[in-house]
Amino acid sequence: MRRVLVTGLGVVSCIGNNKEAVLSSLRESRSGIEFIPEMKELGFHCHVGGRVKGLNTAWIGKRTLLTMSNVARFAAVAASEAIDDAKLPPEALKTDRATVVVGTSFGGINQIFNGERMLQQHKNPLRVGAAGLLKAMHSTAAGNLAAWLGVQGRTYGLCSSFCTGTDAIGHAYELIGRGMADVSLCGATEESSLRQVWGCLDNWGGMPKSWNAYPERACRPYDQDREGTVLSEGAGILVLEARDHALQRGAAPYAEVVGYGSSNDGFDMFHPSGDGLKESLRQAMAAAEEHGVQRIDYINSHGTGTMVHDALEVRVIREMFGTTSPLVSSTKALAGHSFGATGAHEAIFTLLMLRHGFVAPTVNLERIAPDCEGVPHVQSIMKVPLETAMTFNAGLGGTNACLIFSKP
Amino acid sequence: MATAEEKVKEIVLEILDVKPEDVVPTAMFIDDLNATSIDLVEIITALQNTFDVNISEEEAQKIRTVQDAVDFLKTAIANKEANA
Repeated sequence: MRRVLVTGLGVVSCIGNNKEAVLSSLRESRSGIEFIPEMKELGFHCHVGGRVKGLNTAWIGKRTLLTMSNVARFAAVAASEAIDDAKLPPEALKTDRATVVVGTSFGGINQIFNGERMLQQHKNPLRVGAAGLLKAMHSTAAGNLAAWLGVQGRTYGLCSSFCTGTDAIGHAYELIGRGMADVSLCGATEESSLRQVWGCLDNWGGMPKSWNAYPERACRPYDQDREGTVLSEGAGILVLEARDHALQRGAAPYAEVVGYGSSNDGFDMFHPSGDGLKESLRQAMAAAEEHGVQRIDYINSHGTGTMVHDALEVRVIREMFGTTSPLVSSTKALAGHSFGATGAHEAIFTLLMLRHGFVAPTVNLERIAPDCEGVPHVQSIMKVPLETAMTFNAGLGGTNACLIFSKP
Repeated sequence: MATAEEKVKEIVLEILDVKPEDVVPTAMFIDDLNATSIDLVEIITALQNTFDVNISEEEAQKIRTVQDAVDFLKTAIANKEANA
């Protein structure tokens, strides 16, 4: 395997639409979770979530925007920032040695439902337009980025529930590692699916309902009073490069990707078993050890704030690391759960902490629940030099994925 | 309230990368304003959805210039009001 570096990152999220804004939100525990009137009007139990606010996309140009719904627009803004951040010259992307691997759970889901609604209402296919197909498809973000930037290598999204972003980055890492590409724009994006699927989580009892008056306190990973997760949207895009490719052009990498693991529980659509998560961590750790990594300093966990998942994750971390567990925190209390994009968001949050030497705490973790004890939870910001960090996610349908980054 | 001419211009400017002064009544969408067939469908869809009127495929095929779109819109709105 060739060595692979992270040389740029870009983010659109409810805690900021660029990495500087996100960095200060993480440092200051500034929450992106707010009251969403629409959720109340529609009769949800939970009235809070995270939304992308104030995003300027006009600069992208009408020609390009015509085929982009929010899912692709978020990815385009994040990709543009990542490319600038990496100081990647445009010609490095206009080649078949460049790839785009940008996943999404739901694609342009609002476009799909608008099309259906217009057709149903007017019985006239011309009401649906022509660009809607390009805005709706699951590869819309990847395809739009490739067309916009001139990328000629492999271009696709992948989809593995809440592991989508983690798996997209992991897959791009493998493509570069195996010599099939030199550079990749990878990550994930998600537009709000409030009207289509958020209600399902509300119905499962997977979203908090006692904290509507205190949106910022609603998501409480590992806390005794946790009631569920809060949903959000956005995109996270990384520039990954073969080490030689990056160093030749004088890039300043954030980290080296030293481990990736991915697995399935093979057990149940809803309920995790924990075995698959453990396997994905084991795979990533084995790869990291081959890179000479002896110790993980920090874990950015999936930490949704749901009853079952939080306890199970802590059990897996305890079983993996015993009494020498890395520091653990979840950033979902601040940034919410952006479905497919969550793994990409959290990889970026982790990389920012790695570069700037701090750990953002699990906000709202006031009283550690008995079933979440036994790992070093970070409850207030810690300034600490980090050499290695892990981020993992676990999704519906039994998916699990884990990435390990090491300072270059 | 914006006139049909103003509204058509606004929709064209939202979809096509052209300057306001290019959107004159005689401008052909495809030949003068560099619209693709997909752009033209998008313009026609936006006209329908903005004014809540229906355009048949036959009528849509006749829309080639900015003035065609304005004329169509005026007729469709008048028909809609007459049937209301």
